[in-house]
Amino acid sequence: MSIITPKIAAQLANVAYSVRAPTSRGEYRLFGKEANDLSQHFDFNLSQGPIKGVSGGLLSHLFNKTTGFALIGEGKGLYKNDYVVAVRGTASLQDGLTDAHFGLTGSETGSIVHAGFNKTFNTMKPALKEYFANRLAKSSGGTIHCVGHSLGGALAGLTADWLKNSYSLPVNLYTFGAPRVGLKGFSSKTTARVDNIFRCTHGADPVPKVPLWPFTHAPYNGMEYRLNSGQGFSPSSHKMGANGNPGYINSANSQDWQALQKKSNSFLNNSVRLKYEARHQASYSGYWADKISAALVTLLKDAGYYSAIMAQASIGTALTFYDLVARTLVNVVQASTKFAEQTAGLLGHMLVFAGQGAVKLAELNYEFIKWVFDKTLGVLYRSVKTAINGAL
Amino acid sequence: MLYIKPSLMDNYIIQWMNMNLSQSYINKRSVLITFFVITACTFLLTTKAAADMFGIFKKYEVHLCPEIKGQIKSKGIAIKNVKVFRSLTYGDDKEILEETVTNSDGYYHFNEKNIKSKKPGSMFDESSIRQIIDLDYQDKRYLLWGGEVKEIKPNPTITLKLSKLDCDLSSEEKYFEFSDEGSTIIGVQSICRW
Repeated sequence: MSIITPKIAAQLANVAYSVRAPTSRGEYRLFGKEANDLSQHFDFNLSQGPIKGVSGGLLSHLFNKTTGFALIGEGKGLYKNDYVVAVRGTASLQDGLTDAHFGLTGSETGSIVHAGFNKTFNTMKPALKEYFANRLAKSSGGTIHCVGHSLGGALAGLTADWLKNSYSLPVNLYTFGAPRVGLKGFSSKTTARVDNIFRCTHGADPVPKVPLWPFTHAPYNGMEYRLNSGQGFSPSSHKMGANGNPGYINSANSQDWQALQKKSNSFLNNSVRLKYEARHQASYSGYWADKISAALVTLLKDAGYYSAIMAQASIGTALTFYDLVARTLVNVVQASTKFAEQTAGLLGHMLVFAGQGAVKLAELNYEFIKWVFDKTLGVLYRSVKTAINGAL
Repeated sequence: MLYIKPSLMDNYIIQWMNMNLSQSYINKRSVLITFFVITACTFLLTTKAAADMFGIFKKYEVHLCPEIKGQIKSKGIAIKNVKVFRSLTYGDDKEILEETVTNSDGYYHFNEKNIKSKKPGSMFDESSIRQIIDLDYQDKRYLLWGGEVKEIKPNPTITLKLSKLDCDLSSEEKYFEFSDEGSTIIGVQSICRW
């Protein structure tokens, strides 16, 4: 099995954005330095245009507004017999990231994933199927490399999962600044299914932090390639291209994955129990967003409500997911003094995270717990939204 | 500050509507429509102002292409009356296709092209600009310039190269890399020579 270098992966993710329909004079070639560099390793035949997809809301689906989404290349030289599928992001998918009333749906491979991402993937799938059905039957054991930046990374994740499930050949996934795609079931299954996952992030990129738990990243062990050490949240750190700061195309400019910094936030697999007295250690950061999620999961597991909550999340309820969590925590508090203290520890850290450190814990009833959740989710979603909509 | 007391304003509206109500049904309807239109406009204007404040509707100047000047020759002889095409595509926007004709000395010219766009304001925007300049001569297609630019501001290197886009149709199409003072490397496919 072959693996493409970080540099090639980043170039592919970036070039996917310059794929368009042929000009009115019939020109369909890709131009520029990256396209030229990549042409040494892959052939892209765009005479028929790129793989199309439909993204966006009801209106785009009604009018079937298709745009170029994916670029498929055939490997040569070092990558002979390989294929690359480079998917690009689209601004119209952004709404799904910060929507508290997130929609869930069953994926192609039977796991629970983000409804918006899956809907867009389904519009690309027929074209992908048509392309690969003939070629992979006679394939002599190459690898398919799925690549994408931002929401394109989410679509590349669904593509890799579906390809590996449909065809028995090695599939690798490479993402840059991609959001979470599905719940734990999808994350663990796709981690086992897809051969290698290279998930690249920047420290201050807000997009990999959403949607919030119960959405879970793949690989399931929380491993990521942290390409810089930014703090806080900054919109320019999400950018792929040279106009970003630092821009994934620059931070991933390496010939070797070993040379890049690996980081593992293994919170979600370890138990995290927080003490109320220690709440001031929390701060508004990606690190604490992950740790608070892990503390919530631990509390629900300790109190025996985890499975029930996850089952509810999968079915989808009229209430928002976190409303359900708040209602459940009321029961957790009443179960024992120990659980009440653990809940207080969690809520205390959440308040400090949300900049509400001065608020004293009141009676742990539904109204108060719901308020703490609203504040915490509000502050995180707000900064992602500001980053999304804000100027550079 | 000049303002009308809300209660006073209500009275005016009621008086005004009563006045109209005493007239025909059509008048009553038109008053209601006017009222709703005014309300809707006020609402839209205030939200527009709020949106402007957050930069959602802010438009950015996008420089698609600098001025182009050049001369077309074939084996050293100037070619007159040949159509030259410039195709510019920004992100998913519609392609902008223009054409010009070489003069008796083979010279041609395109103006600088700029547009306004909201796209650069979005964190998710990765739009780039496709620049293609080509011509057809004796049933053959010749590519004078094929480039992809990520910057939305004028780039001095590109401006310089496009100000002298001279070519001889007998030259082979080649890939060129130009670097400016910054770190950006511009890759272009062309039959021109500089």
